[in-house]
Amino acid sequence: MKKINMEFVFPLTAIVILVLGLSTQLFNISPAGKLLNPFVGAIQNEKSEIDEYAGKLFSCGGLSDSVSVFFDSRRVPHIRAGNQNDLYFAQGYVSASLRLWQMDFISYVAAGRLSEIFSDNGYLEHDREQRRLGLLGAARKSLAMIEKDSMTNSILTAYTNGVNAYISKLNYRNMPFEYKLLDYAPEQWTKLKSVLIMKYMASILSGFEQDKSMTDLMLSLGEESFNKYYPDFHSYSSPFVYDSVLKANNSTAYLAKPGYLNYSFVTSNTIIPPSTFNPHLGSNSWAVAGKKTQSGHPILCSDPHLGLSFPAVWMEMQLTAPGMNVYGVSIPGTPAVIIGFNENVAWGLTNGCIDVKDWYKLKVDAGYKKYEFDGKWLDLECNVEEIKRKGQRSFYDTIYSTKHGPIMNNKGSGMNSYQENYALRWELNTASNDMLTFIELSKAKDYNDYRAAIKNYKCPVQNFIFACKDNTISINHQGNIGLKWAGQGKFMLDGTKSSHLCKEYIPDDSLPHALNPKSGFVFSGNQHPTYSDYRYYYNGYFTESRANEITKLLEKENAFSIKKMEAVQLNNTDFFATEALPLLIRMMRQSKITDAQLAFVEALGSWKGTYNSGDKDALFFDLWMNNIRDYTWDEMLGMQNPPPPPSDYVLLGLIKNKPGDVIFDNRSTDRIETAADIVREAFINASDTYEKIKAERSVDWSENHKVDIMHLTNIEAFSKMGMPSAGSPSVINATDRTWGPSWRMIVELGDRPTAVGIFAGGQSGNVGSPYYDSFVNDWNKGNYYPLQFYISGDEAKKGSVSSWILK
Amino acid sequence: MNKKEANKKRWNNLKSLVIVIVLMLLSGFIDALPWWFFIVPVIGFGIVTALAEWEVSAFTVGCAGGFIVWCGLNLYYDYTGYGIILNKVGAIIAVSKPVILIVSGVPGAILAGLALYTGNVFIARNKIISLEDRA
Repeated sequence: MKKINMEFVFPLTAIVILVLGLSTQLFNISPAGKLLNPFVGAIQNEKSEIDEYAGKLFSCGGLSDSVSVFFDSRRVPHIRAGNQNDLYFAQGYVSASLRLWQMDFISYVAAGRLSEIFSDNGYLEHDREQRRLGLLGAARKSLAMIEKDSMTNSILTAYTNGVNAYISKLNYRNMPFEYKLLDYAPEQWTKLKSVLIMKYMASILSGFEQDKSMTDLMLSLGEESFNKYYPDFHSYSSPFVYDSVLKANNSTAYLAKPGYLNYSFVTSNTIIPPSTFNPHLGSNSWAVAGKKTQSGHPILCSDPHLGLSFPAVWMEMQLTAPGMNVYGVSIPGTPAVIIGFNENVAWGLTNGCIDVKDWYKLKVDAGYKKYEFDGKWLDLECNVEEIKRKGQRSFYDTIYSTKHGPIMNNKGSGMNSYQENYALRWELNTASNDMLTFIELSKAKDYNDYRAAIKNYKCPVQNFIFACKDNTISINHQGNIGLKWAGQGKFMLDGTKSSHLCKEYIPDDSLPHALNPKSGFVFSGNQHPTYSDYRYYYNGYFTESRANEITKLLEKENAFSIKKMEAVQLNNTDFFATEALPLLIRMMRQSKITDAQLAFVEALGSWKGTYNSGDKDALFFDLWMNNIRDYTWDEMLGMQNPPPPPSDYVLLGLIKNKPGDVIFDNRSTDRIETAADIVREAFINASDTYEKIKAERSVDWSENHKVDIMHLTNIEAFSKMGMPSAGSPSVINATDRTWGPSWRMIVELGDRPTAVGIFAGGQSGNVGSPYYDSFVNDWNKGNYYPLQFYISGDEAKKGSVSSWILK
Repeated sequence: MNKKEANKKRWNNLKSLVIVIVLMLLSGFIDALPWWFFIVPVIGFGIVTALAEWEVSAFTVGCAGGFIVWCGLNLYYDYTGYGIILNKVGAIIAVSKPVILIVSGVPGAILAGLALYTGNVFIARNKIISLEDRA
């Protein structure tokens, strides 16, 4: 009989401790044992799911018939199903196969649940903020509305089942790498998660507001100066509704200071809520009718400008079922195609840039139970949100809200980046079924179908650009815009008065739109949709330079082709620069400068305002304009909380028409400066900076304008950093360090649609896949890929390099 | 230890190494098992070596087996795949792919070494074997 030797206890204990240690995330270090294990760890993510499972039949359950998924050479899935529900089930399955972690993660971000993933406390404030902003509540309300619409509900249910069919096949080995790295597992997909993703996109596009800044400016500058420097409209805009048939109402051109707005109204703290929302997230889109194209068929272009990230925000796909055949980009986690085309129509989107986020100053009783409204004291609503935390006890946050919306910073909440006792009214928090728009657009055959589809669209306000193969073109500024009195919502509002709350929206048929204009084109570059004679008041954060350049280029050409449209979409000319430069050069020639400086001025005079990669003058102009802005707006920059500077077009107007304006005077000098002094000083200092840069590195524009595409976790190893790029925020090819044309699409309709496109990323979200970033270099070079639109199953089969069958 | 015994031990070590590698591969390829499950058969095999009264350098052989399987398979998948993910994992902690490949063998090596040693000392032997011999 062998005896047991107790010596084994020590190594066995060591094993147990090691296994536990290597299986758990300790001090934010990923579980090394699991991660480095070659059977299940990181190396198992070294694959292309698409190719690995080529020809495979996946048993999913929940499908009424088999669905074919054909992947073309760029691994774009072409999904062909026998009915609509199977199609969306398959879309869910395929989207999850390629992008599960991304879509799941965004749903956590939107719902304010990051503390469940990250074990330190770094995301608690984020989660509290998200809960208070109300995306989760808004998604719940919207889902309740969606569930009442049988078509949307059955599509969303099918999509959800498809995602879950994929999740049910996952084990540790084949789950996306980020789960392994952050040591958590995918949860069941829900319809709510899809709605959360839609709400998250809406929040990105409608989150920017500057009510507090505008309030401070109106009070500090006074009514006249405020209207001079921060006008809602100016003469340099190219609205898309030119032939305004609407009733003239010039009251919106000049904003009188609202009676309630005075310093005693704004007595509490003066911290400006730091906006993490980017006002530049705009986009370009235009359509030209056949009379302006070589082929006689309409061409539609769309390039939405969004934050650039890995995995990419978009995923290309073709969805085919009886009654629909659509190609375009979808947002992983949501059904249908957001921007795309079918055999009959094409559509694009740009941000409407309307301010749909208003703040209301409340009067709350000392016990924080009631608030005053029209002389009555109403009960504050109070909800306790549980924020679960990884490795810690849950955090419970009490959120108060009023008729207007949530109070971001109630007394004692510690949410000090927001103003205390202000309620937020954000259109995003209204229930809406925006998904239905895209579901119906996929099937649209003509303008009437398109109009019926976009009627369901509420938030964020978007410009829908439309083209039909019958040569109908249209633009619609679509979404919920409150009926407001002039100035309402531009400044902080009084929460004690019902008159400050919007009760209605601008009627759908009165929203700015244009149908088959005489010009033969419709366009949007996030400019003002109308002139100041529009019947209703609205405000927002519009930009004009891109729209002006688009108008110029579309007016000039009468025989557009896809190739010519590529050149327009990649155009790097700054319209503002081409307008400002001649004036600035003229002023410099008339000023006292050295011969060397004059020679520099003359050389700059030949610059065409382009931000191409090799341009050497673009950097100089940028430095010069930055100095002119800083020296002119020193009054604003010197404020305790510097507001955004006025528009460049306001600045140009002042230089041109009011060079002696008091704003040009530098308060720190004894003499009184004029525009000419500012322009000259800005030039001399820009020259010095330029020479210093030149001594260090190339002054080629692309060497001074680099683009980062960051992974959603901000891990640089999964990102592409510092790509030298052409373009600039104010040109049509609007690129900046972290955002840019996230998807470029050009579609020519006709007997059969012909299209090209590219997005900044790759089809796969897997960091170990060659298709994770396979489009990026071509995207940065301005190349396009032909988009394979298959009509028949045989075509799809012939064009595929890999295929799956779902059954 | 005479030459004959030394040769026998070397042969036992080699056999054990192969068996450890095979056991780790077999248990590793079963998805349903937890990542550390290879420890169980390796301990079991360690007990067998004790029962069979094999002279084995248990910890060293286990370490070698674990390292070969973990580092070798990572290298194999990297070589036959796209060569992407280990570069990225390495970049997270600012090391190159060769370094991360070597590091990848360490957990497997230590655990397999400890597992074989645990099994090997589990049964008291008739013959007294020094700890140095076992290690």
